[in-house]
Amino acid sequence: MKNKIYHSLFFLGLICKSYGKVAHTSSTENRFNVDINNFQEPKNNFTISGYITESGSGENLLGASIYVPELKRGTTTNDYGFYSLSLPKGKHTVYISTIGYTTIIKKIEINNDLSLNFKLETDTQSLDEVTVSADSKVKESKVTQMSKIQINPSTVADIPALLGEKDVLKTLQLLPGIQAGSEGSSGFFVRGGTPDQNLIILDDAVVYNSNHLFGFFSVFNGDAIKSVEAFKGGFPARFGGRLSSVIKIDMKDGNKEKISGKVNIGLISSSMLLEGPINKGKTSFIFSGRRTYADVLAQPFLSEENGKGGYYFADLNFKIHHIFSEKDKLYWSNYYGRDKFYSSFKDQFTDEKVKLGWGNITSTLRWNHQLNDKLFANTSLIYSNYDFKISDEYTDTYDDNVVEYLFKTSSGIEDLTLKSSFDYYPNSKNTLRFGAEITNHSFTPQRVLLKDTYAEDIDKTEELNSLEGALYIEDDWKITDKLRSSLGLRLSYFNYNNTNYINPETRLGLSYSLKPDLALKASYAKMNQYIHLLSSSGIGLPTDLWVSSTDNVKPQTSQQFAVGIAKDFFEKDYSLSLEGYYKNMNNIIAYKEGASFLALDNLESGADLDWEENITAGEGWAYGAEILFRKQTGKLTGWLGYTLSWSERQFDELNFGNKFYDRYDRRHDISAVGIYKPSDRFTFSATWVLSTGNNYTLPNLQRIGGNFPIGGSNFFNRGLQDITTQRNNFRGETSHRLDLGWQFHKKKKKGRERTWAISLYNAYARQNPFIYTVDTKYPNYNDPNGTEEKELTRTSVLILIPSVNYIFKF
Amino acid sequence: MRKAVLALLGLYILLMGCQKVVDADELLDTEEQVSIIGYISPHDTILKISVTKALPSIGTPIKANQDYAFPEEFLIKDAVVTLSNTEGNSVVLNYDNKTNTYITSASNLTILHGATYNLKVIVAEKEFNASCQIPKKLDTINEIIEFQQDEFGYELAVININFKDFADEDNYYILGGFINTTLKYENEEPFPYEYPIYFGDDEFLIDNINEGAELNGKTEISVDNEYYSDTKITLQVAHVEKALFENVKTTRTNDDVDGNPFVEYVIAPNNILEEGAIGVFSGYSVTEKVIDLKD
Repeated sequence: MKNKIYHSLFFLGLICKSYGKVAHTSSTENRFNVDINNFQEPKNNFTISGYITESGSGENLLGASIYVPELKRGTTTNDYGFYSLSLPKGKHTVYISTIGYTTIIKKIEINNDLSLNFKLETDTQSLDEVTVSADSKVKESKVTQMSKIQINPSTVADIPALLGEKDVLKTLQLLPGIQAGSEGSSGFFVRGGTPDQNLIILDDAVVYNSNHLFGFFSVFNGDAIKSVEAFKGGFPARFGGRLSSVIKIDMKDGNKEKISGKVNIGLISSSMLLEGPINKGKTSFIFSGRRTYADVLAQPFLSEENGKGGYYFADLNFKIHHIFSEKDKLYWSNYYGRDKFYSSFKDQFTDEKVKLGWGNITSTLRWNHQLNDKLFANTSLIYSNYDFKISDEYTDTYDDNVVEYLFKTSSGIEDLTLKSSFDYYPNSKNTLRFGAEITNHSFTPQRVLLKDTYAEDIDKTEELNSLEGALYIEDDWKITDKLRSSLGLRLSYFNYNNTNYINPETRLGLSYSLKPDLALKASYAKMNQYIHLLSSSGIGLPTDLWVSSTDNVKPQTSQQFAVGIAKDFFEKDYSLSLEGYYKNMNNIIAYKEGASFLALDNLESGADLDWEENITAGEGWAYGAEILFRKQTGKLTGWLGYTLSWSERQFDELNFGNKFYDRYDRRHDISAVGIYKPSDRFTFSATWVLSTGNNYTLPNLQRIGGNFPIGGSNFFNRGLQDITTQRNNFRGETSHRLDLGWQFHKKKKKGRERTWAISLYNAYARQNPFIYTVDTKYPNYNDPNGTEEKELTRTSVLILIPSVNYIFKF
Repeated sequence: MRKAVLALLGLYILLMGCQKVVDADELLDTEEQVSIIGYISPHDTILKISVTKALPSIGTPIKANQDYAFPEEFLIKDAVVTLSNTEGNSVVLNYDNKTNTYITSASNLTILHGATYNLKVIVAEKEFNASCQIPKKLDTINEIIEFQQDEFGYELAVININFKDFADEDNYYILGGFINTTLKYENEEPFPYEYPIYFGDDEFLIDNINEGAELNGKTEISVDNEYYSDTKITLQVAHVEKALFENVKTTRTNDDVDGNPFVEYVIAPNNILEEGAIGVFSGYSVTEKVIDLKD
């Protein structure tokens, strides 16, 4: 078995090396004469490897830095806290660090391969301005990867939030290049893309609908989250299947040392978290739950005679982590989230019940295996499900006549994925990642069950099955001290019926250090997307429908180029990045004009709805520039972000084939975030955002309709007609908003802590547009000179929303 | 069900939001234009072109208490409207106060299948031009009529209409018709009555799926002997130009989705060559078939 693995590795190394070599050779003779010595370790080099964890909880720390300044060599931990670093024989000083933790400086002497685990203490001095030794932490100017942002969950917890619901996705929206949809929505648009082009993964599992309550809240309960990484471009080859972004969210593994927890009581919901060891040091669990309770509180005031009803959403996260041995670890993580609306009405004649429900279920089983001190493997078995259901059931009784009606419809997607990934650290210059994954998608665009006393029963299901797979390899290669590259190749595969798509995707990242704290960066990424979201609104309605590429619907593709500068200010621990990007998207889909899945009248009639006939494919272009100035340590932390962007579309069947600006084309987007912690008893935070308005298609002219004598138009088209001469012809008003948050902490005995958190959303009560409608102002018809006039009405939501939360940690 | 979804959404917005009328002038940059609509056919006895104003939809006061179909604010009565063919024949159309359109007798300019016609409209010294070509006429249309009873026991005629598409080009069809009958209510004198036939989703047919194939449409009409007698069904298939098809269908679609915030408005087609005017000048031909239900 081991031999097979080594053979595989050899060939992968060979491929990777030849990949680099071919570019420099022109003769066929030389092409296969590959020098693999660069991948072999010099004989006086040894490897240190191991895990970096959080002291006190045993939580694996991902992205932590291990650095030897005198050699300018370093690496970072992978997603499971594992690192491997080759160092020459001798004595070295090693810095182990990550933001939010005290740096460990350790002198080691290496005469052979070493296994070294480190435990980092939470940085109690983080309130002080600390001068960070150059290079010791992962710096923007030191990594090849660009267009990536990492968010610390503590930042999410500190930032003021709508109704106190700490929200990962809304925090991401405060970063340049990631834009909110409409006011208050957790739906987001990355670099001119669409919401379905965002790959949102929770512990390896795809989350298809990341919204609660029509997008006002996201499904991610911040209590259980360990890390959040967002990739807007320069995508590593290990990610694929979406065009515009990857949002990678990892759950905590659970405290391995002691039972701890947190209770959060808010105005609309409460949540709790409990974590601890099942078998100390070996097995841990974490459980968190959240539920809104407006429906429960309202129940006493409702009666069935007047109609009862309610709405709630709930989330549950559960994870178990078991350490079989130093080299074998198992993780089983689960998420369940549900939104539910229900109503009922009952009197002597009628008994009616209506239910709407939608939600995600994910489950991920992961097995880490460290094959040796340079090779780390993970195998995942992943289940992901999203469904949307409506049911309406009523019975009418008049005299002896009983009329019964039952209508149920549902749509959804169900995935089963098997995935293997390997991290290989052959030497101090290269870090390789390679792997394979395969997913079986089962789509149910529509299932309808209709039973009606006066009509024939209808029970039909439309199902699509497709298979998506990929092989990938990527190499983070330190070519010289100044030049780094990240080369990647992904071979994606998709099968639907007799249609097969095989597409190679090239990924490239380059970084050149002009100075120790200043780097020029460039990246290129080609992406394919085989599944699509049909959205009528773009605001995250549950009726949005996931569908597969088919014989007729081609995969979406994109190419993105980005260039940028990353500058670190070591003295003050500031960072500045400036990036420009250009993205071209093909085969993107949209509803045809006048079509919508929200035509629920058709649904109820059981009429055939062929989604393929209602959509059209086109092209998109997005380009712009982003600036991010960030400060991550000290009493005052935060960032200032600015995005200048354009997003255009062209569909042959929309807008008469003419190019138009996308609905969420935003020219300017500014966000300022500040978190001030003068002491460990008080946190003050503020965010201010400004963005150019969204585009809408509204009637801009009215005229007397011309009658056509054949068909229904002769009847319907009399009088005045409103017409529109251009898609997205109307740009809404600029939105801006200030949110404020105060947190009062009090430490108690035995490490307990209580916090009162007060927040004020939209503090100066700006009436930002949520939607625009055209309404008619009717005259007094008794006035002979009265006039009627159409008016543009702006609906605003979420104006000056205060909230208070009580949080207790133990 | 749709009501439930919208009610839930509406309730939430009501709870946490507010509405305010805003000034559209700064947000929606729209200038008044000339609206020109004209559909001509060999079937016509009167050639008719509508020339009116297209005014900004939002913020334009329209005097109430006037004939709603023809508000004075929109009328243009002094346009010069000329129709011509490619052989140099032309006719100037005159303003008709009854229909508020520009008209002339079809005998002044013969409209032929396959021929091209030009329209010139001069409004306030600005000239607008458009042209059209009259589509070919279908040779024949076929129908199958089956009689059924509806859920209340009344007699229904289920009409299936079919015809062969022209194979050589993209074709657009609009289906319609009307019924002439004698309507009879209890204790009342019978009286002649005409009403239109709607083909619903089958009203607009295109041949993009199968060029030259049989196309068909289906509808149901009530023809119960208790109320109707001497019933004649006239089935019509209009072979129309693309611009006409899109204009009529756009209007219908926008009417259907009016008030639904989740559906995008359809863009109005325009084949007027010059800027400053919007509209469609287009040709069509009609094939009819009359079925007497007594037969």
